Amino acid sequence: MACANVVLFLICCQSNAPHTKTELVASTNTVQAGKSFQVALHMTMAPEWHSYYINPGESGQATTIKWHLPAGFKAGPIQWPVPKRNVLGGVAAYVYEHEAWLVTDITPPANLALGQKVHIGADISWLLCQEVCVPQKSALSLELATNDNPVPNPRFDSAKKALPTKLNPSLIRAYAKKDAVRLRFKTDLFPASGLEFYPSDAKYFGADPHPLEHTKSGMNLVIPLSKYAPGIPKHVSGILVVPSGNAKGAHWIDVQVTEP
Amino acid sequence: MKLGSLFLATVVIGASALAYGTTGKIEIGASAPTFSTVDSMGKSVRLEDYKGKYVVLEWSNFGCPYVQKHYESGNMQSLQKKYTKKGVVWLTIFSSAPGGHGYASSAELNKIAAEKKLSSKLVADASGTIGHLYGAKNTPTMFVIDPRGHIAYMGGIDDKATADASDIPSSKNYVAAALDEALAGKPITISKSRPYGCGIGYKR
Repeated sequence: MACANVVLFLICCQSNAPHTKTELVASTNTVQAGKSFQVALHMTMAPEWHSYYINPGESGQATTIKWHLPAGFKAGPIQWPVPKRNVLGGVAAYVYEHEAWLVTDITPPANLALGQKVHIGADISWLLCQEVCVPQKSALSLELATNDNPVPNPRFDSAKKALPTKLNPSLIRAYAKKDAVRLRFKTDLFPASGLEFYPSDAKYFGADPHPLEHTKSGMNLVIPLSKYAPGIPKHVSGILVVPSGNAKGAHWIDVQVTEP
Repeated sequence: MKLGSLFLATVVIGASALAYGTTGKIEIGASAPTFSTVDSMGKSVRLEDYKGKYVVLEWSNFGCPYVQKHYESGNMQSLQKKYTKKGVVWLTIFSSAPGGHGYASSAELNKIAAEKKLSSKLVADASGTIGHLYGAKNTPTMFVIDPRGHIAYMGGIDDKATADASDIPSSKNYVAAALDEALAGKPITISKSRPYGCGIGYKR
């Protein structure tokens, strides 16, 4: 089996781009008027290839989704899972290997008629890289029924597991000093080592290592600004991964940047 | 008196030569790190030799879709042609190592340059020395160096970080804007932006 995969992989990549499987997985099989549901883009990458986080880092490009929704429907921004920091020849990037679940909230209009079929289309565009990079595209669609008895889709559980949770922003402060933004952790909720942060704004941040600084007034995670940053950002957002303790888990944070 | 002015002249030359740095921080207004190499035709390329001229450094890799976007559309070639005609020195640098993605020998670079009609000087930087000196991480990454040897622009070629050539007409080209302003004696409005593209296949 493993052998067959290897052979297939070699054959596929001599002339063509390696395959990335993309599909849409909805959180429910039926839609209710005015009630948000979620649709995940599930990407499965060929072995050794990767796609990118919203902030790709020093190379690459984030995956984009262009939704085609029925009138009155609204789509939110992509909610990203935790990426992996990948360094190739000194170039650092935030990537997804093997698979990625990118989740979007979709809100139907309040006056959605019962029994109506809901057709959801999405144009997906992503960059697949190993050492070489291949831009790829797909057009996906999904049809959902409308009624008042929604049934959760068990396949969506994997997407839910990959989603960062939201963290109370008052637990963290952010301030700019010299060429970095420092995240200061206010409470004993956080462990003294092993914190990881994946900043979302590529304009301001690359994929540099983030040293943890212990000072008299607390513990700071130092997030260096990219040398191409157009100044100091007004706020810093991204995924914070806490390895242990009361706040253990992956959290989406969005914190205002203040003076020290 | 005569001796005095000679002395002054020496001091001035000494000071302006210092504008080119050796190492140090890569930022707007900083001394551009100097380097000495040969181009793909075997001719000497030394950054200080271009003192008094604007210099564009363009990191490239013809196997990268983001570079192809600007070459298959002819965008990069027309920029090279337009600004080299105005006296700008344009160096297209390849920092991929042999065996790394995008590596090409000087002979291969000359062949591609002839096919694609480049009007820049091509530099094979297989050791990655120049790339690391400027902290270039992806292709295309662009720098503009002013006539005194200071970094005047650094970053991406434009504001549409895609590999799609159909985005070029609606893009703001930061390098063209910086050169137009600089050549007209005006300050550069946008002097840095995030470069986008493929990671450089440096020696590992």
